[in-house]
Amino acid sequence: MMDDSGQSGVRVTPVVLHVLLSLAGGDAHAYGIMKDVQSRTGGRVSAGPGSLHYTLTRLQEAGFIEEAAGSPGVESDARRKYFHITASGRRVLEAELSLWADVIEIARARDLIPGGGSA
Amino acid sequence: MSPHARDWQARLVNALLTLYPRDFRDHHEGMLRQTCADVLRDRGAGPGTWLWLLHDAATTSMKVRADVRRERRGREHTTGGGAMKGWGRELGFAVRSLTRAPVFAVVVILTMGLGIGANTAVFSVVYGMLLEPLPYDKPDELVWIQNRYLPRGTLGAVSIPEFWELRQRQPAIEAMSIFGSHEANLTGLDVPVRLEGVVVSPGYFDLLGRQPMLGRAFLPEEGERGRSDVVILSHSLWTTAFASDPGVLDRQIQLDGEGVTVVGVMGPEFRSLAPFVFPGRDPDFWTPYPVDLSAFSLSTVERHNVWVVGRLAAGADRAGAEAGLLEAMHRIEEAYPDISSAGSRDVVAIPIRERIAGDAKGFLKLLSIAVGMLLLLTSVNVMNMLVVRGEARRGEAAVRAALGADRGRLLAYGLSESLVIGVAGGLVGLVLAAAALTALPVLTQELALPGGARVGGPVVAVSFAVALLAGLVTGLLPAVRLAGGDVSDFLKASTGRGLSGGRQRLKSVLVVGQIAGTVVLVSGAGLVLRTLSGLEEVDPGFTTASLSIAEINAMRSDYPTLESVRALYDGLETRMTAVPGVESVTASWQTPLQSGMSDWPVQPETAEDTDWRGADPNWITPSYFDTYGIEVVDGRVFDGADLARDVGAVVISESAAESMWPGERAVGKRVNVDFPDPVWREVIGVVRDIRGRGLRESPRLQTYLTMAPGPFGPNPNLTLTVKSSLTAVEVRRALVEALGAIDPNVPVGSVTSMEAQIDRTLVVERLLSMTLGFFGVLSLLLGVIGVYGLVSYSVHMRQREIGLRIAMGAERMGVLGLVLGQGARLAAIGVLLGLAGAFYSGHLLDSFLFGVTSRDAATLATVCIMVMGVTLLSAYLPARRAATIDPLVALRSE
Repeated sequence: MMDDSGQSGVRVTPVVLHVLLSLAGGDAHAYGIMKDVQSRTGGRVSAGPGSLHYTLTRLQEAGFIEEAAGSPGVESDARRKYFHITASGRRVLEAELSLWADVIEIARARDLIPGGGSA
Repeated sequence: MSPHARDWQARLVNALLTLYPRDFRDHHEGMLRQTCADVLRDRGAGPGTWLWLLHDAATTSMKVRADVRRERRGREHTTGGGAMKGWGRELGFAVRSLTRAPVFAVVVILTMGLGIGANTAVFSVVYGMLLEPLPYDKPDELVWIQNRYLPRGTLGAVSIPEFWELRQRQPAIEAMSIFGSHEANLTGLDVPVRLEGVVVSPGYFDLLGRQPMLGRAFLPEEGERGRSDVVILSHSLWTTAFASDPGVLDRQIQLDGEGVTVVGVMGPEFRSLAPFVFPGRDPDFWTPYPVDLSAFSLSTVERHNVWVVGRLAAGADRAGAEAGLLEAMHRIEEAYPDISSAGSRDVVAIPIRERIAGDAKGFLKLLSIAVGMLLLLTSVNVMNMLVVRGEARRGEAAVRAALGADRGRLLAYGLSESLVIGVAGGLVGLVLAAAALTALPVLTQELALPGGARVGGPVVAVSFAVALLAGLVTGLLPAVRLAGGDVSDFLKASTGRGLSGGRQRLKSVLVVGQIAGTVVLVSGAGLVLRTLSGLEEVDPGFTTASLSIAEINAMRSDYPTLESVRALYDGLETRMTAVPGVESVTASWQTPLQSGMSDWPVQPETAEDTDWRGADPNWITPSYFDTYGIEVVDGRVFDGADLARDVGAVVISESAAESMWPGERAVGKRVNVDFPDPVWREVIGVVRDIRGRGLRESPRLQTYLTMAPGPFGPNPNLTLTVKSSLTAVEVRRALVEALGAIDPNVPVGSVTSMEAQIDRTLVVERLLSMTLGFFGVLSLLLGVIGVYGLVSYSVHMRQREIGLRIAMGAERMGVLGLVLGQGARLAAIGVLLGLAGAFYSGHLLDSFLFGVTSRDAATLATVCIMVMGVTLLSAYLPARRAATIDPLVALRSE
């Protein structure tokens, strides 16, 4: 499935990355993902309901995430759909992150990151 | 949060959701709603949140739309969508290539449009008449209940006591209502108006499942106790006579001098049942029928003057209903054993739809066949043109094939043009049909269409289907030819070296078919035309020119005695005779060719033969025979002295005299026309027969009486016939003036000329000859174009050969004959086939013909010669061109 990432039609936008990132931490429903992304980025990346569901649909079609089969525990809410990252989703995330890691490595070496923040 | 705010919020979210494409919304609606609700709860429903949500919805929906577009494009390149796209491209290409040949395009599209238009027009009539649901609740349950007299199966009206009995104990019939015609004068307004009304049972509107727009329907007790002092107005009367005033409810209006209370007004959409069963009559009001049970007697049982409409009970069928009705009829016959029709009749419950369509079915069938043929002919013509055009497109097809286009693609290429032509022709046809229906209102009026003939939904759908089918059928053959065969064949053909035998044969077959169809149509038109001229030559037995016929509708209550009626009409006759231009004036109960003549038997006073004979009666004033120019054969006609006698004399027609006293002189003998107690009247004169019931009908026995006391009592509703040089409008004006001086409360009913009355009896014949003639000429034109095209094409293709022949010394006349012979052969085969068709299909016309049979040799021969001649003429032009071919030019042209 790894090869699919190139042709899946899913461009890895910041939202996609953050959704995958969020789900890598555990199954969640749409609003949970939204809150998670918002809080982790301090509101810098914010996906509205439409954008979020659009992204979730694309990721599902690409096979990167799927609807979670069982309930993920106490926070479960029967009315909501929970999402789960698939193995191929995880691989895409890792590939993407390692790419970004390289980029950031280089950028930091050249002192190109504003504010000079460290990871 | 208050419920109000939540409601408001939900509405805004709904609005947001509408931004998304339907597909996306359908999939995610629930979740989107949930998430939006979460956001609004946590972030607060401030303007910032809403703006953010709006921005999100707008951008996402754009993304989704872009994806959908991209995906569609991707799919088209690979799978099934490609075929559709291919078709789309072919159709677009066809449209463009047609616009590059505008003359060809206009001719074929118009041709197709004519065929489809004629079919659409006729189908919309057929649909309105036979298929469109009647505008009532469960219209299929409605039945028309009538007496049927055996053995001939004549249908007749029902009497009130019969209705009363028929209505009892009918498990198969849920409800029944009287339905009778009732005219009345509306007075108390500026001018008195004559109104058409319908008397009904109180439950009539419930039976139809329709209710008044204002006020109420009749109450059960209204009308059933001999009381009918309420009325419901039609929407048109309400708007015209009462200025749409809702205050008319509960007001008293004067109908025939009686005060009746308006209890309801029907809505504009309500369609009365009346025009369906009595063409051309749309009632202005409804009033409950006053049934007086105490007045039932043998004479009222025998007075068959109402119709009955019923609704079958759920699950009941016609046979069950009729069985129950027959039982009731037997009960009536037991109660009144002296009833004259006892044992010789039964009762039928005819579905309303059948009753409506009954008379027009034959006509519609004929019309449908004619337009069907026309469509066939136009399609053949279009096919012909496409085949010819196909030759031109073969080159391109060959190139495409050589470049690897498959057969399906080539077929699409070939078919696309004819499909475009079919659809465009269909559109033109719809416009033509709509125009024809407005231009020919007679179609809808005279045929009493329930819903009128409109080019509406189902008609459009059917026409469109026909157009597509016609497009496909006409295009298929040329397209298959285009797609079939192998490439080298195409390429060879495209160099223009001649026309293969097969293609030539196909076109010949098409042309022959066209000529044959023309012969069938034109001979039909010819036969109907001969019928018309035959009918116009029929001697009706009376003068038809310069006569105006006016209905005078005085009220019985105002003219209760014979003297008062006489005074009214004497005064009218005197005043009208004094009007300049008026030659003579007469008042009578009936006028010739009036619909609804009643049968009034006559019985001679002779020892050996007192049989009753069916006859048409009339009550007249002495000037009747003068005004109508009816010749007196023997004896004399009425004079003033006859009017004064208690038992008036009688004048009879020649055939009546011959029937009662064959070979003897009738004058001086006595006859009886009264029932049940005989009144013997002396025959004072014999006059010529008239065709009182229509030009097609042979003269009936006729009796004329003076307006002496008759079985009817004094009747102030007579018809005034004015012989003058004035038009009907002028006569009307004079009449209004004359009546104004005598009694301003008497309205003048319709005033028409006798010629118009005769015309009305010939409507179907006129319409038929017009349509058949039009279609015939059209198809002749198509045939001529076909022959011309075919012959000139073959001349063009044989140019070299003909030039060679001429160079070798062939006579020019011989060449002319050679080419002309080709046209003549086609024409002869076509005419012969057409003749066979006309012979075979002629019986369809039989019931419309008069004085000519459907196999009339003279008509058929004339048509054949004409079609043959015209066809030859169309072959002559190219033949002459062939004869003048310069061999040098022809041989060099290669």
